[in-house]
Amino acid sequence: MTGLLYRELKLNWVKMIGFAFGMMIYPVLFTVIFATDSGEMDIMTGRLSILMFGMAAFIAFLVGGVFQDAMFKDDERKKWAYYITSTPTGIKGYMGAKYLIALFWSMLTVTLLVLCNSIAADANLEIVDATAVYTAFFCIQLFLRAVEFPLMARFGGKTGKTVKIVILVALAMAGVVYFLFGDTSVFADMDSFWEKVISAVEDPASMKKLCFVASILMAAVLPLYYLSYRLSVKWYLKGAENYAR
Amino acid sequence: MPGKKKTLLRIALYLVFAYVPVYIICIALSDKQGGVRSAFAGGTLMLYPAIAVIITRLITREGFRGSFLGAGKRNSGKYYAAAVIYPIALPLVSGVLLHLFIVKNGSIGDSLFAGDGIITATQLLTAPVAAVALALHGLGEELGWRGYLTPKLEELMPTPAAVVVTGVIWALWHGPLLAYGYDFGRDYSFYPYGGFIAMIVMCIALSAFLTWLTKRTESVYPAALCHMIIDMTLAGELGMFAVKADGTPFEYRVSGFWVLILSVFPVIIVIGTVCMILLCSKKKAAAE
Repeated sequence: MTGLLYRELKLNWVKMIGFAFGMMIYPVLFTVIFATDSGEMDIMTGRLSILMFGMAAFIAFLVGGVFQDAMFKDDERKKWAYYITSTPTGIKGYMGAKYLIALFWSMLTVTLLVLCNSIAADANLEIVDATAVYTAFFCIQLFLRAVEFPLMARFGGKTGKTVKIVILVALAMAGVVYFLFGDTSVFADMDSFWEKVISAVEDPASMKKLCFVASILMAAVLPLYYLSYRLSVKWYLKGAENYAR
Repeated sequence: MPGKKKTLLRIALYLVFAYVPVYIICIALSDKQGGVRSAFAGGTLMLYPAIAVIITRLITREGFRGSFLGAGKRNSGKYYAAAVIYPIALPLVSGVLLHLFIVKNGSIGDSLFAGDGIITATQLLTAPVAAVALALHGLGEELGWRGYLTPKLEELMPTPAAVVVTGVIWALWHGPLLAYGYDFGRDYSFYPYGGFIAMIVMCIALSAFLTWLTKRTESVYPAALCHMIIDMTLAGELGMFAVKADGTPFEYRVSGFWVLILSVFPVIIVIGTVCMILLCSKKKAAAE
């Protein structure tokens, strides 16, 4: 396993550095803007900073996700699949290394974002700590990988991604159908809609419930990631039959 | 003998790299309250032991073999489970002890923990996830203490002694923060020495548990996960036992320092002792 992890690092280190720079451009940019802002920052701007850092985090996780996908489908060759199956570490170790690297990558993203946030907070005391937002993105990223990796293992990189896109398009279509034929009275008056949203956010009881639901979803992601690993292990050899080379 | 000398030199080198930046940051940027003024500097503190390991291994050219970087042996799942359950259960049991022996004017039913189920459940569910998200910080320390220092000390002394020495070194690594009241505050008569002693006891007991996890799985990740969950949950969850549902604190029979010692330490010490015995018995079995 350690050897397989080393192999992943050795094969991907240029990609890793490149993607790390790519995903951190916006967070670093926002950090520099907030850290060098000479004017007094008011509380409202400080609160808005969480939106800016949230956007930067979204981009960082998006770019990081591309690396995770690329790393996962790097070895799509039949010879390699049969070879790794015959080793003592086997498919479990091979898939474990891939899943572990992807998990580490998400952790690294969170750590770098937290450090950027803290540099900005050092310069401007009103900057809000956005760790909760990063943790939420971390969970979303793991969820997406947990769905995507088994599909890529079963159908190969290209087809797996297509299957994922088909699922996403189907969900989007369901949304469109709902908006066309379902009950959309809540969106009829956008002013009252936003008022409802703001009052829900300001109401401690509804926020408490929202946080509780979010915490259940977040806690479910880690077992799901593990189950996804088990599924990928099970499907890997079936998927290897689909490889072009 | 030359082997022992080489090991000692490697340990010394590692300790210099692990201690110096942390002491410089904690002294230069101290807020005199047990923390550091810079959030960035504070956020990087836990990463220095890992950085020290990397630098030491590169300088000594010993490579990264035996760094416990694999996910673990077969059937390591139960140890991963232990790494998650222990830090979650620790504040719960401590909270019960707090209410059994220390709280004067109220019961556990009056506490925030029992008073608001949704907040409690949210806290219990979120903390492990946040700990995983931030686990690189825990890994930063564990790669150094359990992944490097303890195995190196084991080359010089028996495992239990190595665990104790690691615990002491680990506790003193927090020295500049402890001197200003980190973790244990200043509200006790023999400040700051009591804080140092308490930290040493706590670190030895935790070191035993974390070393046991690392040895049984041959991986540093369960220890890192456990360390991070302890950091994320202990204060928060215990805090929910320490206040009433309306947020007002309970009255205690002892000062804040002793509240922590009497509620948290029994659990940590019992588990640490059990792990130390398990480590010793495994050593004996291996010798036979």
